[in-house]
Amino acid sequence: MSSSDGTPWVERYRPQTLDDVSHQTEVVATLKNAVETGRLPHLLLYGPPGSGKTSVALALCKDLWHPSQWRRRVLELNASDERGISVVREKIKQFASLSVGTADDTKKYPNPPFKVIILDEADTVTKDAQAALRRIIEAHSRITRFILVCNYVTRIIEPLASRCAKFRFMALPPATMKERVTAIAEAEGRKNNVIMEESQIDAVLAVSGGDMRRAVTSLQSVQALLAGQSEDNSKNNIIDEAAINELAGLPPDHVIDTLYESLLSNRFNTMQSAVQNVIADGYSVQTLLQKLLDKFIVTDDLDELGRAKLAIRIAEAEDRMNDGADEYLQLMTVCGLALKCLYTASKKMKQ
Amino acid sequence: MLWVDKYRPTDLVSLDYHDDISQRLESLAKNPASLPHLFFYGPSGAGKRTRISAFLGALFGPSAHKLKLNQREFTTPTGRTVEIHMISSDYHIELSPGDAGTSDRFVIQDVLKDIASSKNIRSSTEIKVVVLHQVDRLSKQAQAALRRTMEKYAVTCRLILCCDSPSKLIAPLRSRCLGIRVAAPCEDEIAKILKTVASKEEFGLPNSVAIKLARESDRNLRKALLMLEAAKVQAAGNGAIPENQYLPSADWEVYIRQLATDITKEQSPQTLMAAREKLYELLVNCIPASTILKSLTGELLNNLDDSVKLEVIEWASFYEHRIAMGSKDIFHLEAFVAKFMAIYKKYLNDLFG
Repeated sequence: MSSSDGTPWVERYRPQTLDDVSHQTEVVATLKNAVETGRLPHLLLYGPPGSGKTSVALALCKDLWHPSQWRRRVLELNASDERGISVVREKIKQFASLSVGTADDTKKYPNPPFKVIILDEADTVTKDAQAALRRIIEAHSRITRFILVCNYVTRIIEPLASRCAKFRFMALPPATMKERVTAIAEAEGRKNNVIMEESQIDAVLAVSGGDMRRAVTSLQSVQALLAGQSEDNSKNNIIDEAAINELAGLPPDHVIDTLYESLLSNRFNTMQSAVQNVIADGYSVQTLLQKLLDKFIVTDDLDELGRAKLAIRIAEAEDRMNDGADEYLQLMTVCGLALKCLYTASKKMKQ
Repeated sequence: MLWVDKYRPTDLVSLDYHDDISQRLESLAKNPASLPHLFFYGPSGAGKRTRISAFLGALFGPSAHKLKLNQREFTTPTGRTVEIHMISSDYHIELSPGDAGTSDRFVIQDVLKDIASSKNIRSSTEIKVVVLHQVDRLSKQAQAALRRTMEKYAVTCRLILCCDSPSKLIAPLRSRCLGIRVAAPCEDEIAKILKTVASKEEFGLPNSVAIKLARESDRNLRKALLMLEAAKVQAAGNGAIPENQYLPSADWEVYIRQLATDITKEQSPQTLMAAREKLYELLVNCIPASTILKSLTGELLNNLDDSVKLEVIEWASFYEHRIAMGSKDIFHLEAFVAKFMAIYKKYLNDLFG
């Protein structure tokens, strides 16, 4: 029986010190230097989800101060906290302006004489609030360092970005992730009596697309399923690659192939019923479009113009769905255009 | 009681289709401590809610089905109050936070903090579950707010999210959940279920009618069952439904079909005015604008030549996006009708010179 408590594995296996952080060598080297000298600029960490930005920010703080100092030294704010302009004016400003004493009970730590404010998911902070931050950052820079963490650096206003040292995080390559994920799988597997095969771990990595958090979350789901099954061997259905894809919400290849097949038919009704089927099967249109685009780019059935047109249309459809437009109509538009482009290309080729 | 509710399966074993999902849920329910957040998605009438409530039953035992409805008021920091209906049992709470409109993020924060901060003394399993319905209606802000909250309170509280279109949920949330895709049942499965219901209600249902109902329902089981019940009432008496039973469609569908015929027949300012009245009538009866546009497009496509279909569907998706962005639905619906008339007129002119 499992002895695990409820903490998600993502939290449990978060790197505790900068040394534990995998892959982001450049960032880690610079920051370690900062820890040793006790000098730290304002930081702007950006990169795709699951690449370790928040982990680095937290690990840095853990390296700098003794845990007892944290409450006084570190303020972590993220999108689930209220972060309008009023919070910037009151909460952040107040914390930033408090001066710090020096604690002497913590010899082991560098204990630099400043505080840190971590603004997680900083790209969701409103423009107004960001503008208000500009002055606060400068005015209190003697005693407070800001660490801004975000996915899209373009959503941070320029004056704010230029006040920080920027660090770009890269999506993790599968090889690096594999080591870590395998270690977690073994540690947790021992508790739950679950043995995962290498192929299963590979499948988990494949669906994660360089996102460590996603990999670990999928891993936890897969192990939860395996643990439930091992108690009851009578209906042991195997969690294979297809099942792992399914858990991650990715459509299997044959679905894409059938849809693509219907696009080659040059018959609107065939395409329409194929689209209706895909929608009724509940696949996420966003991932479908992604896979379709992958297919359009490599296929020989299209000419360059058609490829370009389709890429534009897919981008448009994605944008509209972000605004809350209907999935069915958007997918129909993309497929309708694909139908036309594929037909013209095939006619040209015959000539 | 409607048959839809009367014959709704209440435990995982009696679910009729998607055995693989049922098995997965069963193995998850055995080990509540390591349960991840779940995200159910799939078209409406596919059985998402049924599966969720069956899963809760498996997780907490039969008392999870003892539901009570209560109402709660939330006060936002700006001083506005919103009322939200919640369904709760001793172990879980269900709500659709989208009802709160722009204040949805405060509702989520409040509810989650409330639930997560108190521990359940009555249950042996320690976790509690919050079911959020229609998460696709949540604002982007509220979704962003959920990101961290989900992780922070994961120790005591698990979320089950449920919605129709997974694309409307931001990727960071999707990657935090175990996705469970509930596909719509295929026509054969629907027909089989209709037959079972008929035999339980003790009347005869010819195969041909069952298949026809299944086909008409667009793979929506709820719709199929409602249609079956309507057909039974119309057939009158307690005998079997005859082979040639007329299957009624919903009024609004008939109405839209008629509208589609009207605007393909004649393209003029007069028909546009007549169309406006029809559209208003539909809106007044609470048919969502995007549903109107979707079924109108569907009807129009049926009578069109392939060469114009692409253009029509392109504009349909364009105006549907506008509906989602804007706030005055009638403008966009009318614009679509006018656009369609222009396209079709041009096509006819080109055809006949």
